[in-house]
Formats: sequence, C-alpha cells, structure tokens
Amino acid sequence: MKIQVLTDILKANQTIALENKKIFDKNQILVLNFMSSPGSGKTLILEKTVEKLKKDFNFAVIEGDVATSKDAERLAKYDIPVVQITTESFGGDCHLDANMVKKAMETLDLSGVQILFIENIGNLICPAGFDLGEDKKVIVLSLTEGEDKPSKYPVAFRNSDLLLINKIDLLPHLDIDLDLLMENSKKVNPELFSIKLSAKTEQGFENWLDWLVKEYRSKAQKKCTSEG
Amino acid sequence: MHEMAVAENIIKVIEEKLAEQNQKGKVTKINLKIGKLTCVEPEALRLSFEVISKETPFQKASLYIDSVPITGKCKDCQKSFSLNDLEFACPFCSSFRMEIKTGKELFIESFEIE
Repeated sequence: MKIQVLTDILKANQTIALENKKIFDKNQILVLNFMSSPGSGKTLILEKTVEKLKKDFNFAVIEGDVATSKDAERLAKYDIPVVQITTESFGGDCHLDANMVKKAMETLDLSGVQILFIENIGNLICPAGFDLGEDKKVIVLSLTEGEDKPSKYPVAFRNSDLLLINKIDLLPHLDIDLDLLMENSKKVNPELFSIKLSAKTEQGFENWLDWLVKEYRSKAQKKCTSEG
Repeated sequence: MHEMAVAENIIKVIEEKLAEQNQKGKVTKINLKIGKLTCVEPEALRLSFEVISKETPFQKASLYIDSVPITGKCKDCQKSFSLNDLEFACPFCSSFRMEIKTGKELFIESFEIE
C-alpha cells in the first residue's frame, strides 16, 4: 500500500524553530546563531562582546558543544544567564537543533534579556541546515583557515547573514590571499556582509559591535512600528 | 554527520503519518526527493537509516532517492540555468546574484507498507 506524504523531512525542526522565534520576538530579544569550524575564536568574540556592551544591553548565551561545559564557564564569568547544551545526551549530534534550544530555554531566565547568542557546535556543514529560531546566522571564519572555505562550504555561507573574519592580526604571518577569500565569499553569497577583526587585539572589533547594536535597534524599531 | 538526524526525522514523519491515517505495517519503500544543495550524501543517508531502523518496522525499508539538481534564475539577466558545481555564477552574464529554484529539497514524497 502506498501512502503519499509530501512533507519536508525537517518539518518538525522548522515548526519548533518558528515557535522559538515567536517567544523571542514576543520578548523583543535579538537572537544570533554563531556557526564556524572548531577553533575559529567564536567564544572569545562572544566574551569580548559581552564585556564591552554589558553596560548597555542584557545578554544571555546558549552554548552548544558535544561535550564539556568549558565554553559556558567562560561566558558565565560575565555574570549573565548561560545555559550549556551538550549534545552527548541527544546522541552526540554535531549540530544544535530547534528542540535542543527549546529545552535550553526552559532553564534560561529570559526576562529582561535583550540579546541572545547561540554558539553552535564547531562544524561548518550540519548547523547550516537547522534553523533554531534565530534572527540572524553569523559565520565566523579564522584567517588561518585559508581562502577556499566559502567554496568548500557553500550551504553555510549562503545561509548566513554576516561573516566575521577573525584573527586578522595574524595576516602578516600567513600566506593567505585576503582578496581571494573575499572574492570566493562573494561568489557563494553576494549578499553576505563581512567584517574583518581580531578578538585578541580588538582590531576592527568596533565594526562588529556597531553592526550588532544596529541590528538590535532595527529589530526594536520594527516591533514598535508593527505595534503602531 | 547530519545524515543521521535526517534519517531520524524520516522515521518520525512516517510514524506520524501512519498514526494520522490509523495504519500499521512494515515499511518496505520510502521515496525521497533530495536536492544537491542540501549536501546530504545518499549513501551516508542509507547507512544511517540502516543503523537506526534495526529491529523497528522500518528495518526492511529501501530508500529510493531522487537527486534533484541545482537550478537557478539570474537576478540580472533573468535567464534560467543549471548549476553543475557549487560555483554560483550565471553562465550567461557571470552575475553572482541568483534565485535558487531547485536543489534545496529534503522531502518525503511517499512510502509503502505491507
């Protein structure tokens, strides 16, 4: 007996992602999903961002790793709500999905939170296919990864809204063609906005902070406009 | 690898459909449409499915995968085309601005039970 289905395989994830987004929007929280290879410097970027902006904004973080809570411990030092998801308990998944974020939200105090960072598992393939309920996807690339990453991981680059090119302080020590990296990125996603920075030396960091503040204000403005 | 998550979701969707239609039985065939842009590897998906379906009503199910090519329409010259590799340039005017028409599918079309 044949049964028609005609359904998206990841329908369940999409449904939960939309539910998550409704909650975030109702609470006027800007949510960013950070994706990258392992070792790109995502966590240091988040640490420095919270350190510099916590006097102006209330942050919260959902950390995703296969194992350990080391990254969550680093962010918790800034006295902000942090929840660690370790996917070991979900079977060792290499990406976060909307249901994991939904479970994390049950233990996270979102009252008063204005900006939520979701630091995804270090992986440039799988996270790109799973919406979590975020407003924007941010991809972090370390300069040490070379020029051809965008061509090798087109889905992640096409699905992202912002590219942070980190460790720019290492440029004098690397054989990397930065113009070629930018060209490869544009070929895969012409609309991907990029910012070059160093989380360590803070070179270019203010451009990322400006982008973040602008995104927060833009979301808040849209909310005000829609409420008339 | 995300093929495991995809395999798990295939089973979930079919189980829901069976419950919705009040049907039971062993699943023998599953027809899927998978776009090349999803980067889901058919063989990896079959292997993942084989692993997680052991000792379930899905364990004898064969996956029939219709691999959907990537096609797009250029936002500048408005021409439609296929993309054979993952370089997103219009073959007519070399623009990188395009709307992807097919290639993103991750779809269960139908399945069969006995």
